[in-house]
Amino acid sequence: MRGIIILLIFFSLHVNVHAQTTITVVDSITRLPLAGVSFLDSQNKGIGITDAMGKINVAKEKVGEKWIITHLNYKTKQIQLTTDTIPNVIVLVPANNEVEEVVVSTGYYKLPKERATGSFEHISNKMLDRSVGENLLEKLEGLAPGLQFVNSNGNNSSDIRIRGLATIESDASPLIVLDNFPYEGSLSNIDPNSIESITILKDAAAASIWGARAGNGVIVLTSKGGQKDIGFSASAKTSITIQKKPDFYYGKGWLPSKVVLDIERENEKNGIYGNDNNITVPMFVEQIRRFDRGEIDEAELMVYYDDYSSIDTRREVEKYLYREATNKQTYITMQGTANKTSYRTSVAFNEALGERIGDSNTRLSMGLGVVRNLFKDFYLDWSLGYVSQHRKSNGIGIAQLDVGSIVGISPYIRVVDDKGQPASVQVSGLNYNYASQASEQGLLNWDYVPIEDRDLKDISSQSREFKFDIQLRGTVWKDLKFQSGYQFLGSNSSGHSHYFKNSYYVRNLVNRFTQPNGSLIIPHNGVLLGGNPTETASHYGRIQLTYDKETQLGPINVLVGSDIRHATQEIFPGSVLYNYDDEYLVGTNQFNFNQNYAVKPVGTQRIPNGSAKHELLTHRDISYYFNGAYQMLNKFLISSSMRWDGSNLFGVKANQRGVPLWSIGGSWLLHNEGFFKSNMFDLFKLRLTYGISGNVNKTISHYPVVIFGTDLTGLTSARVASVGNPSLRWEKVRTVNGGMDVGARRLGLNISVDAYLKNGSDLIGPDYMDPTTGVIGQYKINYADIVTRGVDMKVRGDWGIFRNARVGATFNFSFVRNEIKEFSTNPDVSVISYLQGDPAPVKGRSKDAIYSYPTSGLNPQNGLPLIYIDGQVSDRYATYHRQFNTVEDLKVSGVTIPTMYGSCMPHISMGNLELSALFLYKGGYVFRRSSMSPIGEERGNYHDDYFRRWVKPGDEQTTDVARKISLDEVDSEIRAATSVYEFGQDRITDGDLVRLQDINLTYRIPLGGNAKRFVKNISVAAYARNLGLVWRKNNHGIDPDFPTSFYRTPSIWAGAITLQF
Amino acid sequence: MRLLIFIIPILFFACSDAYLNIKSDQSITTPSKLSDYRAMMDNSLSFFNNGGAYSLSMCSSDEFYLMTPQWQAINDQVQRNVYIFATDIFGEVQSSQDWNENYQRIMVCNMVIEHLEKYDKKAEEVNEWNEIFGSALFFRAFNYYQLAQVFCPPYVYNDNRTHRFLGLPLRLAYDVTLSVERSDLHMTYQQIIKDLNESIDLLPNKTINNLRPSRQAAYALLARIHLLIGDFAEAKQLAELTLGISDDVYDFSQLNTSNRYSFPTDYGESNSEIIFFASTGSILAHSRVRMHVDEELYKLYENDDLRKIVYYDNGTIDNIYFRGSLFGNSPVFIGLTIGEMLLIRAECNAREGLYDDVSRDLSKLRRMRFTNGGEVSIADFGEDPILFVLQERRRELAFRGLRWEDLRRLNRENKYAKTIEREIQGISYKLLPNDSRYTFPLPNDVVSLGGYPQNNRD
Repeated sequence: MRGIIILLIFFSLHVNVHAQTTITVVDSITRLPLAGVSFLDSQNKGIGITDAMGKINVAKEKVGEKWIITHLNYKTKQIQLTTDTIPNVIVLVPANNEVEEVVVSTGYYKLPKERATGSFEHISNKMLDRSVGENLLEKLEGLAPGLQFVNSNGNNSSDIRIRGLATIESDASPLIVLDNFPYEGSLSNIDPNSIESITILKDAAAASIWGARAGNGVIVLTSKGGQKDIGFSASAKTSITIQKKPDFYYGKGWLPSKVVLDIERENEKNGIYGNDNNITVPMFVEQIRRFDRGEIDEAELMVYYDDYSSIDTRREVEKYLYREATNKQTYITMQGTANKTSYRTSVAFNEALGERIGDSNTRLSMGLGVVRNLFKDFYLDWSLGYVSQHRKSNGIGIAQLDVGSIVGISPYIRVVDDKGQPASVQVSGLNYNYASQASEQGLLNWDYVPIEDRDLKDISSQSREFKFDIQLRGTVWKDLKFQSGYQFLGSNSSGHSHYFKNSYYVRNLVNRFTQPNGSLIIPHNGVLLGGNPTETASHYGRIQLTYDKETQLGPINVLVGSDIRHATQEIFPGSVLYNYDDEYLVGTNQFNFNQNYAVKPVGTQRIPNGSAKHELLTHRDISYYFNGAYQMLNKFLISSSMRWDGSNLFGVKANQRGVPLWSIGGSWLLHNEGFFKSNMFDLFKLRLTYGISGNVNKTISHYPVVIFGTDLTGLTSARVASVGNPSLRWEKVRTVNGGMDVGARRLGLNISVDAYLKNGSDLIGPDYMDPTTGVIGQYKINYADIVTRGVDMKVRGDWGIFRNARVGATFNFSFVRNEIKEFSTNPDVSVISYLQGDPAPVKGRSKDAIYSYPTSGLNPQNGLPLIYIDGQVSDRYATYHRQFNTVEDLKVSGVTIPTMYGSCMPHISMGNLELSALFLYKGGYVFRRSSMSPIGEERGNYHDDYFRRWVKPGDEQTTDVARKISLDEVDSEIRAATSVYEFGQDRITDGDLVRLQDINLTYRIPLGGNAKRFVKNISVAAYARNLGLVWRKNNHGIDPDFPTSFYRTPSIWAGAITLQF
Repeated sequence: MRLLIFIIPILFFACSDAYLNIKSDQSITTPSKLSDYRAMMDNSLSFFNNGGAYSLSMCSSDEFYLMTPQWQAINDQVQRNVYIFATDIFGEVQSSQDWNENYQRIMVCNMVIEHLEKYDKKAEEVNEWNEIFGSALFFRAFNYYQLAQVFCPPYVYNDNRTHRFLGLPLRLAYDVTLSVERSDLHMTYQQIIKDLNESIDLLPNKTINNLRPSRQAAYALLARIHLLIGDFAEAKQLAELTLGISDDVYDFSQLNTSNRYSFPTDYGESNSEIIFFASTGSILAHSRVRMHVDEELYKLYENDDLRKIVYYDNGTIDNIYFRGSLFGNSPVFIGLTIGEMLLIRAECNAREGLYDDVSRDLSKLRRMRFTNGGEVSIADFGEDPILFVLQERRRELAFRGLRWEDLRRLNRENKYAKTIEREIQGISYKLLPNDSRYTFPLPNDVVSLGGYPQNNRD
């Protein structure tokens, strides 16, 4: 150290003597000298460029007040210097290096991650830009430990769990904060390009400043704003994404046409299908009936049989109804500083064509952000944002070909006939043969031709969102600063369905309402249905004082403030116009909507009317908060936050009680301790935090609620729908978090480990009240309890292998488990409801538990599940089922949400080329796979397991698929084997998997001297996503993220170009 | 400027209670206006005037009997148990409608009472407020009175032992989080009588329909209660007050008895004899495919008594069943009538030896129950005029849920006490006078969730 000082003195002497100084520029990480670094003066005039050894000689007279040091791959550095402080070494930080100082934002304040006590995850702009896509949230999967996607590729906050669960019956979605205030608009309105960075607040010290809404974790989005920048800069980015057509051959719920035809013939023989005009029967059955009526002969029937056998609906659908979905994105932004004002404007345009032909979505986003220095250090920041979206949903997909019970999606549907003309297909609830005779009955043509119908309607929805922020900040007195802000977020959305005159919708409605005497009720013309328009408006206000002081021992940072919010959502009634002519925009709604008309084929019906729903929801909150941090001797950090919330969702009792939500945290910077002598670590930090945050259940009222009606006497009467709960209050989430951050730059390693325990208490749950209170059955009160334990780990390595090449990888790993500690389960809930659908929570179990019958294998005698009654092998399946009196008797077969998940992102860079890939891992969970039900044929439920069914004794050695139960086996004891099979533990399948989520290849095009004058930087990127499974534990060919779907999200291929000016 | 920065937040948030006191959902109607409470109390035919704690007592009383196959066909374990006077009637069954629904109505009464007490009424609203408040008091008393006949031992006025008997949990506030212990029997009846006395001062003599309680209804219910607790003097006076408001008796000869049910289904609108209209669901055993009317009861009707055909008809299993509910359908009428008041006054007069008054009241009633005649005189009374009145009472008030109370109160007098006998599957069952099984056990969930002491039935 002393040597350097002497050297420095020597150099400065040298400078003084020779009026020239030599400066070496090095990389901040590798410490290698950097060639080609430009030195500019404050007028942007060149001073010089470093040589191959990274050295530059600067003449004494060139030493101005400010130097700007730039290099393509490094962050531009400005140095303010006087003649006597010329450094001999200048360190440049690589422009794309994550080891740089990370600043996290809570929405109330920003702080360097190194100075935090809490558990934060920071997702940088570079990581966000790495993936190409129109939705923000889906980009986050796999990027942070503790961030779990419950629905793969989801883009709603409800698709996400941050560190597991902290509630049972309330909303478990994390809070999304956009530009300092909670964002309650649609996440699809956020253009990912507009987001600068994302901070995820995981523990109490990080999140409890958000108080009553922080219990599920917080995701803080920070928009790119006006920056104090040098001069003018602009960038443009354009990308195109192509998604492959879905692979319909993935789904297991399918049998070849020929097999299904034979089943259908058998079913028809057994009279499974009804014979009414409102019943859809398989096409082949229609032909059999024609044969029975003598309309066709046996040879013709065989022609149909052979023809239908040759059709595969999946092929038809893939060819005629789906396409490669594309998405074109353009993003242009400009920023600059003029006088005392810096500004930034951006325009983004997104045009997507959906995978179903006829679906599309466009989104236009515009933004303007201005930072104006008023006087001294008083600033006025304001920004405007506008997003408009337009969506068309005219497509017809495979799901729309499902005609319901017994038939389902027929495997031999033709959407285009053998002459290449669009063909008609069956519809639900209408017999094909009956409908095809419509014209002879004097009705309109009743054929449904999907490919034509796609163009005979316009189903669209649009939304607009407007955002306005304004903030005034400045110094009040010495170290005391204030900040006051206001945000308005307004949006409206609406939708309409316009069916043209010849659309199936109109013809069907006209025909159905044609009266027995032939008179029409519905005019044969267009129909315009208006959805429920929705308007939202939220106003936020904030006043905040901050006190930042450097004391002799270390800095103190304190902030206090208050938030106020008023948000409304109003849903307006829908509308309907018949006899609609879109040329003149005229139609009529002069109908008697209360009259029941006779409809074809059977029954009575009222004329469809617009929705009469009208709703106005108002949400008001007031909050006061405090946050303080103190750093002592550069070794200890202490932080604390406190918050009080009031809300109109709660009664005066809860609001006056005013239990503040709070947190406290500390960390110890071991690497700064004298006794911790290690050259290895430049960061060794231990963290410990504890705190309480809250969660809100909006579905329960503290008020008594009455519903009005009319009694039989004609008087207005009111029924008490809910007695209200005057003691309703916030749910509380206590979190304790211990963590360790280790940085060993020399080894190229960064490690963070966090272990936490979250205890959600005072949770809303059903209480079974003493009926004497007058409350019969469930009464929701705050009493339930859930505990979530987990570990989050992140390991990052980055190593230079030779001059321009680096390799590295980031590993994220999380472990999480929850257990319900207190919950009253309704004893009247039938056991079967725990097997079907979402099971009710049970004390002592995971919220995500899945149950099954403890049966394993097949009975060698009868090919049905092997069960025991009183220790004896039995075939009394209904009796067996009745033995399960409570949920305790069922087997807990695991949980349906991964208890272990993580990711690995290896990257390699070589000069201007960079390659990275993201692998996702999920484990420690199961799912219930579907199979061929023993009575699947008569229900029209088909499955690939059909071919593996037990047929004869001995088959149980090689298969676990139960035999068919034929129709003549009427014994209810035997037929009950169906549900024992479906919910037997043999159907429970391990979900563990490794998926290659995406790959990114980026190349920064080196620019020659002339080009550089116009363009600072050009980079091109190739990107691919949803690249499939690398490994899965189950050997049933099922992707556990899509256990029962027809197809998986297809892979996406994208290219992008970014230009910076 | 700096000062302003500190003042603004204070002004901004000073009235935070008022700011937060806004409905989060406009369609949530939290009762706050007088018309809201009126509507709550007018929830009559699906709530307040429909349902009562009678399913156990009707099943246990002596107005009908069952044969074994019909008893077995009753798809309700509790009702089967009650029929044979089992000690443990509930077994595994957790809850009882008799308890739950009455307490649900009591809760709504408490909610209305509590809200109205806080309501700042204007001068022109006083009458409306009084009537609603009086209705809530009346219905609270009506529901407690029913529960006391089923879940509490019989009460005798002026009997100090009643302080030792268990009464009902008296919930008088609507806060469902409060827990309340079982009161003693005396307190239970005092509360019922107090509520009714208060309602008398608030209710109008007559209301716009007989589903809304009137002052007359409150007098009538008090008369009934004083009769059953043995305070005959008070009962007589109250019956007189009731009859002072109106005393029309409905003429049964106007009825068309060819219908399945004898009375019109107009909720008592066409029947001016009905003081207060209320009904409860019929029990399974009372179905025309199961019940046999008690032979002793049926024999009490003279051949030209219109009630014999108005009330009874042949069922489907060679049986005679009751079809004469004033509801005009299967629900059991449990309301108050002029006929009942005449009978109360007659019984009280008989007990005082005022036989002329007895014959006057009985004749007034019976004239409307016979096509011709029906009048009675002292000569017809025989040895025991009181018994004569009680028999007329059985004839007139059959299948109105009142028989159980009569059995309980008359058991105190050896002359009128009765042992009920049943036979099912060849086994005979007896319910002796004053048996502890005249008081039913609390439902299981009430004991387990509310922690109340159980009634002793052994």
